[in-house]
Amino acid sequence: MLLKLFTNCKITKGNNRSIICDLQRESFTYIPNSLANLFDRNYIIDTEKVLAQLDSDDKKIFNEYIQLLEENEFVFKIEENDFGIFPELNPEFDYPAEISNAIIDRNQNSTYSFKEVLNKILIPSNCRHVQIRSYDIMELDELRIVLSLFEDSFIKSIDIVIKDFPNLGDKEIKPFLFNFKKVRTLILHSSNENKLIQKENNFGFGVIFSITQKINSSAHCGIIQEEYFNVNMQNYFESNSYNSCLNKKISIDVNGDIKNCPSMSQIFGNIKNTSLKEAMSHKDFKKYWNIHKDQIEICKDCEFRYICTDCRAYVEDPSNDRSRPLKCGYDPYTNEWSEWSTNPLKQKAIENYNLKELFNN
Amino acid sequence: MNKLETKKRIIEYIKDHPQEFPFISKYWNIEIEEGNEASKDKILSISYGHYKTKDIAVTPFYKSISKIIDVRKLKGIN
Repeated sequence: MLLKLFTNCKITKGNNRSIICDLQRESFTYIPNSLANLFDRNYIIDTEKVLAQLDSDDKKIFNEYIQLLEENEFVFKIEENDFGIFPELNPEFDYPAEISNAIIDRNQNSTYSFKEVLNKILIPSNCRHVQIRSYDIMELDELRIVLSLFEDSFIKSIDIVIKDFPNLGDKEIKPFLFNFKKVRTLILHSSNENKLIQKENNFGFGVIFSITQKINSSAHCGIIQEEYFNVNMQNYFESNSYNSCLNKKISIDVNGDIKNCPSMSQIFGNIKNTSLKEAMSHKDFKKYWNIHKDQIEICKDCEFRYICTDCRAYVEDPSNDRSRPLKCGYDPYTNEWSEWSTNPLKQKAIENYNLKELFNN
Repeated sequence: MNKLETKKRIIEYIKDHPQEFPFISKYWNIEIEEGNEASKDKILSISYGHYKTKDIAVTPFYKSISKIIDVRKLKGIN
């Protein structure tokens, strides 16, 4: 019997174990490397051929492997003559915009206008997905003006991270958000409690929650956690060839400076006097776009490398742009997660980036 | 009029006025969303899902734009 892996199911081999990503169902399942190795280059297992080489103990294990593959609907039976009718997915990634996503940072000293960002950056680059992060309190009236601006534009989704303030109650924020259908999530940081205020009220949009985490600068960004994994076709194929965080990203930091990411130091001009074209034509603007996970130390041995999102702003060895993300606590050689901030090997980089103060928050 | 009746009437209207809608409209999944409790007018908004899919929740963008939230802190909240 010949079993073929469904085309939308992709195996990523790690140092110790592998995962099968079901890109259609958007989930992943752990499998041992010994099972991953049974697939040939056409992603087919010839069960009779394999069974003929096994003793009775191994046959039992092999049958369990096949059961796992069939129960999860990763494989289907195929005839030898039918190989050609199941072509592989084209792994090329592209996106119909110069820029696919943008981060707009804000604090009480910010003087640039959102209108400028929309007209000078988002519209010319065809960027339709935006995250607004405010480290200080942003009154609802101010937020209303910003959201009204985006509501009338071609922007498709807005994520908001703002500082919670005492008078902002659940009864106020829910009706407020009801009027802005493009807001996917509204997160209130520096709050008194971790609380889900609204699960969703708008087909996946309108999620509101508060979190006690105190966020006072972009230095808090770059956290690598399992919860941030994205198992889907776009992310999988983008990660294969491009940087999963910085590819097609643009950011405006609290000063209005145009950057790849607000946590990075390099500036490509200021929103007040630089056009998108000028910023993007800088030789370093796309410097990190092509650094993908197979080129990054340690990440290249990780089974999660095509479903996680990278970070180039904080790395373990700041002098090496192929170094692994600093804020990742996963060890692909032991398959264990641990707290990154207390790892002795990371302390030098933590000092280098002045991140110690984060742990007091 | 309750949600079910509204939905039924929309489906009938689409059926009776095919020239006003795209040809695919007969396959739309229609969901009615009620206005929020605080609102005086119970606004109804209507969403149309994708062809032959049950899930009408959309994924507007395929990955998280930034990783500034310590999501682990939110585990178990409801």
